[in-house]
Amino acid sequence: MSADQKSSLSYGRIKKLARYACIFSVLGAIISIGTIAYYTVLMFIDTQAVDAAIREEFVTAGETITINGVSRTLTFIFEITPVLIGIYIFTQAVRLFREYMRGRVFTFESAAKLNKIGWAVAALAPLGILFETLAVLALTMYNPAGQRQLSIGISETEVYAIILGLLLITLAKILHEAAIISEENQAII
Amino acid sequence: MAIIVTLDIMLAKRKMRSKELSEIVGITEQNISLLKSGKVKGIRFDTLEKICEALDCQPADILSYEAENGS
Repeated sequence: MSADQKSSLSYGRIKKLARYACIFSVLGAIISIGTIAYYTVLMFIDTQAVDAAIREEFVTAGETITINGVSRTLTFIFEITPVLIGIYIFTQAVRLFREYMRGRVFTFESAAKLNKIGWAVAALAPLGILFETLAVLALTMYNPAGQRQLSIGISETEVYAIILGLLLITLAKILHEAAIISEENQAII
Repeated sequence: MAIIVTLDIMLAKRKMRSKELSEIVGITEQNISLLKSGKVKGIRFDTLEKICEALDCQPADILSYEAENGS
């Protein structure tokens, strides 16, 4: 098998993989948008359901939270912000995989998109922790004195997200260098 | 550019058309045209080898060096 045939086969595999990845990214974006839309509608038509979801998410044994208009709205904002970042990641991923589906692999545009995804994934972990903390604070700020909480939690998921984000940023830099080499190669016949 | 591509002269000497050369060498006619006009950054050794083989010539017959003014 010649080098050209091998390269063509590899590009074919990349295109096929990118097609599946694009479908999953679109699904992810739809699910995220649907989640936000669902809870936004609930905020207006069924606050009891929202309150039940909040209690399910935040109340653990022996802890007290106060849900009123302000704390509910703040919790809603703090909870949907990471989902908005997720939507941004999914839309960038869709654009990136579409580039790959067109066979545009070693391009500056692809590198830039991967870089954006990397930063968003890396930012998701600290922002997730921050917004979770703010949500707990919002839900306990109307509690009697002594029962207000400031809860900060970090799990292995956040560490994975940071490592994955940094890995994607590094790969984006490598892809940028590859794009420079590819551009040079195109000028050599 | 200090490297001058004289492929068009060699093609004329051999009475060969760019299309015919592109078919023998296995690169596009557009790339042959770019090479003739010197609008490429480089040429691979295997491309050069095929061109020399097709035109029965040496690399020096299609490439030459001319010192640029002021250098």
